[in-house]
Amino acid sequence: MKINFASTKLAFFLIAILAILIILSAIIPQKDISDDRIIDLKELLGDGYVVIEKLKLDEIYTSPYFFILLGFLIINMAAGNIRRFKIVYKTEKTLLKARHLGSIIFHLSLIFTLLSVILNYLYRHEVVYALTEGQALSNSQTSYLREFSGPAFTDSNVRYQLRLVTVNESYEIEGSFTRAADISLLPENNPVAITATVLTNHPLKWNNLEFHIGPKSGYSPELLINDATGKSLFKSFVRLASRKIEGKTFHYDYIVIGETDIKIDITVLSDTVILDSPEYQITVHEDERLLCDTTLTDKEIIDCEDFKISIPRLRRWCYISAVESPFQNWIFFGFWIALAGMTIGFIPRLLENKSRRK
Amino acid sequence: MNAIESVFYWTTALLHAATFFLVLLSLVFKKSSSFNLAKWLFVLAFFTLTVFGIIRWARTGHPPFVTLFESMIAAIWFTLLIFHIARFKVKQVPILLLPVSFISFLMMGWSSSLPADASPLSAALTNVWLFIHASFATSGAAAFLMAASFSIIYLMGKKKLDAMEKVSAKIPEYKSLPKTILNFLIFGLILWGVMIVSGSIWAHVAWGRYWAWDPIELWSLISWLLFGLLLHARLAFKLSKRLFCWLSILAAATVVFSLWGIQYLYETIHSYG
Ligand code: HEM
Repeated sequence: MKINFASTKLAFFLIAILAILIILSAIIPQKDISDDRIIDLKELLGDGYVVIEKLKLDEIYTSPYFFILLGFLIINMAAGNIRRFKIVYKTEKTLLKARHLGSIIFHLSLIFTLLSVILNYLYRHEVVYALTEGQALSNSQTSYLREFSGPAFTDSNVRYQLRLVTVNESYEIEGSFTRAADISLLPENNPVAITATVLTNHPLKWNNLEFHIGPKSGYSPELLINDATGKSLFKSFVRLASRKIEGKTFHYDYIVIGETDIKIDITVLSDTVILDSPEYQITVHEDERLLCDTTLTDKEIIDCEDFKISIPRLRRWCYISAVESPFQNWIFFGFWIALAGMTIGFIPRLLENKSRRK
Repeated sequence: MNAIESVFYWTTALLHAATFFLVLLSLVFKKSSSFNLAKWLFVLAFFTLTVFGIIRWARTGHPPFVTLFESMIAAIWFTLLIFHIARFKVKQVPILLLPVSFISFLMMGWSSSLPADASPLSAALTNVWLFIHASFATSGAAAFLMAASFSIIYLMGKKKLDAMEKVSAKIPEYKSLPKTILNFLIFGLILWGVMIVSGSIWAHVAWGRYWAWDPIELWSLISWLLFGLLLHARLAFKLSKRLFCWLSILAAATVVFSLWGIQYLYETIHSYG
């Protein structure tokens, strides 16, 4: 079978497949985007989920076929439009009419935009750090939340250590309040740390990287669990998830103590200025059996069967992402020009309407 | 909503209802006087909605784009604006009063079910891109809704429209309707496109990623692609006019879904405020 790369039918077909894939991605939860919905779907489908994984329908945007599709779209758009304008030029001897010019600019810029999208994907680098106040992570560690590096990305970044100093939930800027984080960046080859307050719309720019504060934050109580002999079983800050239910924010999470069946649920009870005098609801289960269900303040230690549980300190956590997105401005630029082209092509249509009425 | 805002909001809602029912009456009883009255009430509705917007803007200190309620009001406002401008320009528009007043009446109803409290502007929104993004989203939706309204009229068929002609005084150029619909589609594609880029620039400045396949980003791209497909189907493949109209109504439905339906289904960071 010979494929005509310049055919508009093929273009229609390709755009339709693109639309269908995107609709599928709206229905099937995608890895790294909607992880909690993936768990639900896995439960629902059971073994059927394997099909989704095999077809990579849970990571559509990073799957090879998505890029092959974009590639075809680019080739097709180029070939189709070149062919069309050859014909137009033969019959009309000019391409400088607004209608044609607009269409050429539009489709060429769209090709440019798609190419930039692919390039940016290849060279993109993004790390999301989930940090509790006082905590430091380095970009040579693997313990951060998520990392994505495009296939062509070569890590030329200097090693650095990133420390979250404080999170401020109501930082005032130009009359409105936002979440801000004081961070400190210590590059390996630098004797002094770079400190900055990053907030929405105001990242820290350093080398090729931008450090952004993420859209979510929450509380991190320091959970201490000792056994009856006083031996420490657990000692760590636990990042609580925040959920908004009917306008109220809840801070909740659970942990399972390593290699036991002990599950501890922590919910923050107080909802204003909780850092000063926090109160928690603690429930402890062993398998399904409820061991205790009680409240706890930062000054108490509770005895729960063989365990002593306390939460002496409460801190905040937030996400900081380090992003390198080298072709991003090309994408924006291409798209703006495309829209300008569309507008140029649109003008004669408006004028035509007018002259028809006269 | 404070007391003065309420007065203008509910007056606008009433005017919408009155317009729609007067148009219906005029079509049933073939009275052009009630049709003319409806036209004026609709102008008045635009006026009262504008006053509502200005008062709210002055009180909250930011344009009324921020909450879900406000974005719906903004879209109604743009729909009325485009409608009234188009009335001067395009012959078929008077007859459009029926579907447009119906759609905007429905949206008024929908908006009245939403919390109308003003929300303080979060800092993610204190950016010029917000204003570009939100105004192009709502005006783009308005353009698509206009295209859908034209489509409804076209699908009613020439016979019915001829019967209405006596009422609406102006002769609808039935045959050229699909072309007008196409123009509104292209207009909408441009506005919606600006919405998508400005949104993505804003997302980058605010959150450090320009595109994260968030449900809203995803659905608005789907709408854009569907309209693009529809456009090519009509331009390049001469898709039948009736099917074209049906599909543009369907595509407009995806726009309504991406703007206002999403939060009923997904958790998104586009939480409106
Ligand atoms: C493989 C990709 C594409 C090809 C081969 C292609 C081809 C074409 C062709 C042949 C026309 C002219 C139809 C005619 O004049 O009868 C056209 C017009 C148009 N296309 Fe595309 N297209 C592609 C992708 C897109 C996309 C993704 C969009 C955006 C949604 C788009 C938006 C438009 C617009 C707005 C026009 C109308 C221009 C005007 O007449 O003012 N195209 N395209």
